Amino acid sequence: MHLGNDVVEPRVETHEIERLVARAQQGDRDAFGELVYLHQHEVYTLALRLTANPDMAADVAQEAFVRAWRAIPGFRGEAAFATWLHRITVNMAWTHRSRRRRLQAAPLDEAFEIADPRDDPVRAGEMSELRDAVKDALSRLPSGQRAVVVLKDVYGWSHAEVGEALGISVTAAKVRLHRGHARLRHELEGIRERG
Amino acid sequence: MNGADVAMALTGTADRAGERVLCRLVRARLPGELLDTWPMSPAARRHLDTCLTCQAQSVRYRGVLRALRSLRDDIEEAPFWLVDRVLASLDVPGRRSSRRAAVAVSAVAASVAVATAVATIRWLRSGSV
Repeated sequence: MHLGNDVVEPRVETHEIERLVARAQQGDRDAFGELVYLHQHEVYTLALRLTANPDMAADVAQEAFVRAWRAIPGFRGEAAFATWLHRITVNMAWTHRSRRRRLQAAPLDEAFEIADPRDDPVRAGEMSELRDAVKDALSRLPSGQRAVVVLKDVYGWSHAEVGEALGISVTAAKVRLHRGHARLRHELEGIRERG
Repeated sequence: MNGADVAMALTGTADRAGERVLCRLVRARLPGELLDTWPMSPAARRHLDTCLTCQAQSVRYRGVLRALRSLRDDIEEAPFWLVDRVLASLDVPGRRSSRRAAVAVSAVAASVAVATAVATIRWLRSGSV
């Protein structure tokens, strides 16, 4: 289900988050449960953007929270808790991708066939429609390109941060971003020409 | 001067075919320019400044970038069971889950049993010869 821009997640002050984190670091499950409750939609959304698969996104989100629980004693607060959680989520999504790639005959990044846009009635034009079209086109990108586009363009990470999170060089991150954009443009042009 | 600049210098702007080549080159360079990763060459930028078709492409592409950025606030609802499932799978921080530990102990026990059985069979065989 889509919450949209108008549905606001529970807003909690930063110091309240810090208090919950401190309690969770002492092993307080209830405090960590509150953190999970507060960040569940955000983490799930990031996982969904990266995997383009709701079931896999739920698995990634679950594993990310479990990993965060195990790692929280070592959380030093150098970045915001949400940022730290995002990094773990990206890491888990990447682990899932590797597992899936091992199980598949053709690696996703090499499967570069252009999806047939005729099944999709979305018309680009107004911003909300364009956003839907972009979301749809994003889901058709190879996972490696999608991850870079999502982290760089949607979440505003730097090339260095993207490279570090995905275990690739800055140049490779830039190349993937360009390829991802070229394919996004191709997908969106198909939709526009049909519309 | 890179390959694209050479192509632009060679094709010029005199005919429609040349224009189309320039347009293709410039459009290929739009992402680098707008994402600030590989800025356009002066020749490509000069073409962009004068070509309405490429300018329209640039505007459309900026729209796509805005739509991508707007996805940051486009929150999807997590499955209703996520929180419960996470809480059910938490173990003591810094330790492996008791289930994993049980699996590891079982694996070790099974290995010891197999090794013992093999050793016993060998011993019996050697005794019977």
